[in-house]
Amino acid sequence: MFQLNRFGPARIIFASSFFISISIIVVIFFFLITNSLPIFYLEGWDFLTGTHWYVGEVYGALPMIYVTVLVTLLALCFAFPLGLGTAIIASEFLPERYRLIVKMVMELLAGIPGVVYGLLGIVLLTTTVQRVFNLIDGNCILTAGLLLGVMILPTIMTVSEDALRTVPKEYREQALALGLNHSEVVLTAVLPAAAKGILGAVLLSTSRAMGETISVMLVIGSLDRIPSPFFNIFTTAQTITSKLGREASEALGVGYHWNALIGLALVLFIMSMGMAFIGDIIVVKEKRV
Amino acid sequence: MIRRAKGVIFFSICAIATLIAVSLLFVIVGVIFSKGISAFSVTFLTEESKNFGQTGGIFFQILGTIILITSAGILSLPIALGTAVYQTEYLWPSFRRAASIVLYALNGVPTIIFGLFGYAVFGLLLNVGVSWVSGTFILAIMILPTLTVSIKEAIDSIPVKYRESGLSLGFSKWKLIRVIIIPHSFFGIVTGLLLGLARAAGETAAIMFTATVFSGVNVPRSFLEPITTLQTHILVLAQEALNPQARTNAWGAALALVMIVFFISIVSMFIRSRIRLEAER
Amino acid sequence: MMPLFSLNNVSLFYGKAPIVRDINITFAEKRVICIIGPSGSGKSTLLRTFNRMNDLTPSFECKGSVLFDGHDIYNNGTKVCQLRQHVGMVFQKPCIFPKSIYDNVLFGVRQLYRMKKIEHQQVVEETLKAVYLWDEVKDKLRSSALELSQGQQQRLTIARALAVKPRVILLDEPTSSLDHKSAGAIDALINNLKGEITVIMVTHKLDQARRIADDVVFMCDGMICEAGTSKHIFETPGKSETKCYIKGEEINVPIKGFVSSQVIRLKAEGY
Repeated sequence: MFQLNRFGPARIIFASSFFISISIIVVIFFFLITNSLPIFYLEGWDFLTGTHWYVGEVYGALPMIYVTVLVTLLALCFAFPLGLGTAIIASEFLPERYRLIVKMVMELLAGIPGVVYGLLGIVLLTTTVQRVFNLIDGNCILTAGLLLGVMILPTIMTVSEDALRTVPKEYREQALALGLNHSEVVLTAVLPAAAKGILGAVLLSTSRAMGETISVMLVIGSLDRIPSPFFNIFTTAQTITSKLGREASEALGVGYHWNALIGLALVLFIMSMGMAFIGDIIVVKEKRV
Repeated sequence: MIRRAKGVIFFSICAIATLIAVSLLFVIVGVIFSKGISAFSVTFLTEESKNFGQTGGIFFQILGTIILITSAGILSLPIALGTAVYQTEYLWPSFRRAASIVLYALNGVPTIIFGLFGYAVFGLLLNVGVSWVSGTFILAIMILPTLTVSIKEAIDSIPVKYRESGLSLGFSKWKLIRVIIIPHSFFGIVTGLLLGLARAAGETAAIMFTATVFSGVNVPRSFLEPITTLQTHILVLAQEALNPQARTNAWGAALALVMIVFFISIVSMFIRSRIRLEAER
Repeated sequence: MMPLFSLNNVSLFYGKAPIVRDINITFAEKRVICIIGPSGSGKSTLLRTFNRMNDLTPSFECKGSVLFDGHDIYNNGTKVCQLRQHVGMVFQKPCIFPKSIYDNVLFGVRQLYRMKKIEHQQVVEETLKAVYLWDEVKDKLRSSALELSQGQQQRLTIARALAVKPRVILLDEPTSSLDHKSAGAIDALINNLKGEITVIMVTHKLDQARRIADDVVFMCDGMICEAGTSKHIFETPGKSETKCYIKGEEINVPIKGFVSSQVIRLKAEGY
């Protein structure tokens, strides 16, 4: 009367699409590993610590890795205070209707394509930076950092705002009942409770920023050197993504040049993935509490 | 008195940050619109580009972007739907968290890596070269997690009572999915699709050396032909920084691209607010 | 006659914790059976065992055998959806899909049977009459079911379950979220179903059980304390716990505390 039919066609269709999705990431990881193995055989650890990159001679990735981190940090230093400040105003001081409007506008702005920011950067930002800091070339680390900062500003604002909103209403009421004024409520009750959520969310968006290619590529120049001195942000440089964007089609998919580029991609993949994972873990833990 | 002053200082710092942020973003949007509008004209939107994009219009670029994101959406949607349904309905509960992590990981992959991967797979392995089909596949993979996560959230928010009612009527799993799960997550599916399309429309790095060429192409006549898009058009024109005519055209193309992305996002926001209204009933 | 359900040494677990222990009971066909008892006594868990709705909880486990019409329904070979087609269920809160009244009644029928449109209309009319809703809604069958009152919605939910012609219908406190008058309408419709299909109902309203039940099962602390005909349980209860529970309801004073040697929390619910 009741017969079992466990593996019907529907289940097989759903299962296969699921396994396609899951296997994509595995295949990409496998691709990065296999295509970059030769360069690790050739250079060993020197690939990660070497400071010189001459196609056909020596491949050292350190300048690109360092500049990637530097540009991302710069962008964060610029975008985080602005984003958090805006989030606090929107979440704690604005009436509901205006809050929703601000949030909608920010979400819209977060969708502006990177290439459009790149155009803005090339036309406006590089010349401005050049004039203000009296440089020979406006294409420099600072320009890239500022541009990336503006790009991630809406994202940082919306995710921090989300984190602030998840703080229970009771916290605010408790603090108000103790006789604290509005600013003190935010400082003592809301921000500490939302801190982890904000941190996690910021890490997630940082991992996104690290992988941004086009806009950075257009404004950073193309010098494969660690800036000297190392904190000199007024010099032209090269991030991992800009290097990949510029040289991948020249490398034609074979030889050590290609392997070295994929090696760079692997490094970027691991850095950005690690960042996203830590952020994800923090956010999830926060949700469980 | 000191307490009050502290409060005022804190508020003013936040307010100044807000002012800077908001005015920055206003300037950006203002620049895009004012510079773009001056390039806009009927002929600009309806003509093909001439002389390597420096003169002429962007008609085929607009068409190319729309064709590319539509085909990517069509390819990605069934797989995302299947993945989300399998994950919520069939997969053992203890594996669900792990599956989510994998999908989040896919979401975090820098887009240039998709481009490299696509170049290796389609350009070298399958030897289809720079083509529409490579772009479709790469963008479909790129937006897959966006769609899946959004559909999964919609399914998770279906009230348990609907599920229970369906089961207590004796629906099989397939019927439950077809009659209850998919119709009741319909708006979530549409929102996810639109979010994915908006992301795909703004993406350049993933397709610049796999799907698009700069000039000499109108509409691809087969899947194996290259395509031309707004994104790559802007990218190339932007690097011609010294030619004022090229730059004007770049601004026009940028405005067109921004308007496409904004349009898709606004529609998705509108639908999302509809979902909230439904949920409150 | 073969009993419709028979449970042999059934114990039900969520994780490691036993919710219901050592159930041995049989239910005859076409009777109205009420399961009563204090909250937390495992009534709902037991009820959800009859059509395997407990399967939705991942850690659920059933030991012993539950026979429906002679088939062990927890046996691996059971096709659960067919079982649920025979054993329908209605929950505490009315569940209405955002569709018309007509479509709500036919929600299951359309998926499970092939029928002509004329037959559809017949099914709708028959089932709505069976739940005493026909007169109230016959002029607005095509309008949204969300406009109905809570009581009407619950009757519509029952109609949807009846429309697929189950042999058994399980009701999990169907009147607890309704006002007095709407609850009365539900009682009337259950009385109307008497002799046609089997009704197994969990309730905490003793007067309701007294009015409509043929058989009564009194559950306490995850075990069946006493079972028998309605008359037997309410007029000549054999066990002190049963007496106490029934009395507690009559004098309208909730009893809190420990009765006999077992740890039993007897609380008259609903008041």
